[in-house]
Amino acid sequence: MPLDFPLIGARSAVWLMAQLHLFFAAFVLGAPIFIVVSEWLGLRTGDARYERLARETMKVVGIAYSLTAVFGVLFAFVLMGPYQPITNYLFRALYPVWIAYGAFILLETVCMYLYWYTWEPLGRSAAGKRTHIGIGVLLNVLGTVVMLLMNAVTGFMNTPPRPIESATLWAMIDNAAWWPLNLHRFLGNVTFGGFVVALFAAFMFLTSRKDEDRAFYDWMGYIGNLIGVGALITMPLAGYVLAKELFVYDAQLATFMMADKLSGYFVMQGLLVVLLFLGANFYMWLSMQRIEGGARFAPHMKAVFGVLLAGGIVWVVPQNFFPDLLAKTPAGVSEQALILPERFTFLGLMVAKALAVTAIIIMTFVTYLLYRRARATGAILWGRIDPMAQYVLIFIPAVAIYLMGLMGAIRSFTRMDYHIYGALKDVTPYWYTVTLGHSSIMAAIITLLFFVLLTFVFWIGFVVAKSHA
Amino acid sequence: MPEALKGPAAFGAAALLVIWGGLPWLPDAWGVRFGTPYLVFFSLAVAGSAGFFMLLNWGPVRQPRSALAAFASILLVYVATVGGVVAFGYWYYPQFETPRVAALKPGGERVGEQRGRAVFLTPQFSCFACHTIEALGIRGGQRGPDLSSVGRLAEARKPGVSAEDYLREAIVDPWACFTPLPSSGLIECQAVVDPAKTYPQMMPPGAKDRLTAQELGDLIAFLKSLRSAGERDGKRS
Repeated sequence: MPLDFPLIGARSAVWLMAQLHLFFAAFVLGAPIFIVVSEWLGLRTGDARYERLARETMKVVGIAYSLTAVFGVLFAFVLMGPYQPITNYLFRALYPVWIAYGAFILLETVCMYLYWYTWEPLGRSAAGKRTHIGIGVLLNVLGTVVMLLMNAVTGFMNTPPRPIESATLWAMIDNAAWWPLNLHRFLGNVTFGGFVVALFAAFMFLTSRKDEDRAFYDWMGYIGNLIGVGALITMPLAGYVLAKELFVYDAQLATFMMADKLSGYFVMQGLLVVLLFLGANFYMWLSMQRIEGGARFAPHMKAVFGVLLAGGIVWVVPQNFFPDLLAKTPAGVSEQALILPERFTFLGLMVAKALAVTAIIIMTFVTYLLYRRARATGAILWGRIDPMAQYVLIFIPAVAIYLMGLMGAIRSFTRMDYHIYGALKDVTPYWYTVTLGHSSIMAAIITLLFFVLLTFVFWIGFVVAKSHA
Repeated sequence: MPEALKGPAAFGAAALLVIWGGLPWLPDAWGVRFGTPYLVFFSLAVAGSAGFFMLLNWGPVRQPRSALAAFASILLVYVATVGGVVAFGYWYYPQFETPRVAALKPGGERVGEQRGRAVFLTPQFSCFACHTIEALGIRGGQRGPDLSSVGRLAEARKPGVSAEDYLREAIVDPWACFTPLPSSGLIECQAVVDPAKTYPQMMPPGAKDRLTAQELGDLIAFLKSLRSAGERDGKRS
């Protein structure tokens, strides 16, 4: 290892920088998708709230964009020193991809600034507004290309073509994990963007003093959560597609991931996804209370929550408490005590988990149907929501960001002791797969750092700007 | 307690009574016996569900009166959420554990062995990432063999080779001979890897380059001293 990183070590340094970069990147790639849609809806419906949502979110994106770039550069720095062999290998193997990446980043940045700074001048006429929306669409296209390029590199590290020595450039780009990763990350970015917008709205609601502001941020939080949940519902399917491709690519890799060292991560994933759905439905329950006459639908929701909780418990129930293939029973505990009774073994299997997640998704639809029913019969009193709902909108992104951190660690760990699976060994002192405990602490630290940085963005962009004005 | 919270509290109490007062006493003929970890798991699930319904019935909370209170309450929710998930994981899954080290027994290890233990637990060398030493209370990873009695087993792994030399070879050149799985019944290490009989070889390459001669010697001395708890005490006395 040419260089190490002081105090925390090279792996932790890369981990921190890569994940912070990816969190911000997910937001600045995901949010513009619905910013443009919102701007278009504002033009089409004449509802000024859509325009304000689009503009305020874009302001957050603009500040977050700089932080994305900063962490991207720091990520590159910590890679260049301690991880020279893998950096060199990737540059040599995928050089045209890096060139294209640089070019598209530049184009995307130009387009982002163009989109932000022409908002007012182009917004004075309908034709100008349509041109502005066109720039927004172009921004999304460029952002998606940037994502596809980096997914090619990430996918290549996980599932390089075989034999790698004779692989063409296209075969390295179009590797087994590329398209599943594209799908998974695209939907994940939209989910993430929606939840961060909801977090922003909650932050602004709780710090607002005017009723009209609270009414707007209440509405914005609702829309952000709706986008997040809408995309979240599709995520399990995208996850299955990615896992299936990994199974087809290499059974050993897949076994390591699902049935051995990394199996505990998926149990935690189950818990976190259940918490996300519980939070989203709880928010809808609270939203229903601010609809005139909406309280009469509340009793129905209790049955929905009953199913959600039952589904969640089934998802998290383990077949045994030591899912590691080589695990041993702790001293003083009988092995039998750690294994589900035979009649209940099915609860620990994928068939029960899949049924549970299906029930959870269906119940979330039912919640939205009940909400629509309530809305059809009474007016929504925006801004009159229980402030607890705003704390739920803070809870959901906390879980979502932590989940994304942990899932990112899984994807990286499936390479085992390789930088590029089966092709380039990791011979640094950090070659080994860390425990779930270590990963969870790292994900928690990064989640909190990201939150602090986001709070800074909201504060500098809105609270300080508003008080100054 | 407010009226609205009594329902979930009563449900929680009744469910806990069934879990701890009913499940352990089911007739054997039913073939259903949940161990304590499952009873704790169900109790947590019940407590979580009851707590959730209490939250539903709680009623409106107050809007923070100042920006500082808003910041503090947001941070509290965020930290409590992430902290709660991490805390659950620590209880739930053994892999959450980072190595726990039992206190040294009086008159236990020699200086070299103590230094070897430090080498074993150094994150840079990461031996604990794959190996547990159950006899010393060091709960590390589960992929490699438990090293509780590696000192005794090393004497018989390779006929004609001393425990010290075998341990040195196993660390420096782990592909030379593969360690048998406990379930295989084999004592001697095997020349060929066999998934049914030997551990998969995942020892990191280049240990010789990373460890100094002193560190390697100390590590071997420490491993040699591991003869399972009973034998260790006997040897010392």
